[in-house]
Amino acid sequence: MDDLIVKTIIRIVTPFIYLYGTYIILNASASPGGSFAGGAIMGSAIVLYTIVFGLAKAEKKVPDRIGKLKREVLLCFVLMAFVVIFMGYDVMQLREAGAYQIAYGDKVQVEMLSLVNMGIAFKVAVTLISLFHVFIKEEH
Amino acid sequence: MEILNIILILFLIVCALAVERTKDLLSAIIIFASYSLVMAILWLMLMAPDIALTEAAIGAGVTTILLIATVSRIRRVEK
Repeated sequence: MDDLIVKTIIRIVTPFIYLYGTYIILNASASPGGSFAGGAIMGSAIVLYTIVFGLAKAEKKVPDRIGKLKREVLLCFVLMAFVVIFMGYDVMQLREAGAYQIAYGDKVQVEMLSLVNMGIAFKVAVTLISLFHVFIKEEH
Repeated sequence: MEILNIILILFLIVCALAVERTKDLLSAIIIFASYSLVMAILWLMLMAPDIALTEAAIGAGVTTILLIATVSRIRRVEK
């Protein structure tokens, strides 16, 4: 798409889409939204970029090999456990540290769950982007 | 609130019928995006903001883009 107006508007709007997605991901454990929706929003920002600026520029931003990361996302869960241990809690006290699935009405801090949410959101965003890139690529 | 609900559901039904009746696939996709938007508002009114956010991001955003990418590869008018 070779239109100056569209390019300028996408340049202006994209940072706000990123900001919105980041907000949803970081507040996923405590407010409406969730890491899946946040990751989808951040992924759709890159998809918009791909439509407007072309595949070559977008592949420079998000290379293909990022879509093949699988273990690294699962390691987010392990990372959360290690962070809890290094904060000085016992492994059996995950609930006190806040890194635990809480029941309704529990008074615990849920910020630690953001670590896992970041991993899930990353995976969702990358999957969406690579799906779209594969779709586009076969034309050439 | 009750009247707004009824109007939205009527709009939803009209959208669903129009998607089925339209021969131009690009117009059908645009109507389907508006269907998703109304569905997101309905989820919000049913006190499910989680689902509303996901519907707005996936239904109105990503699905539309993927369908348009599909239409760009095939012919535009249904026979």
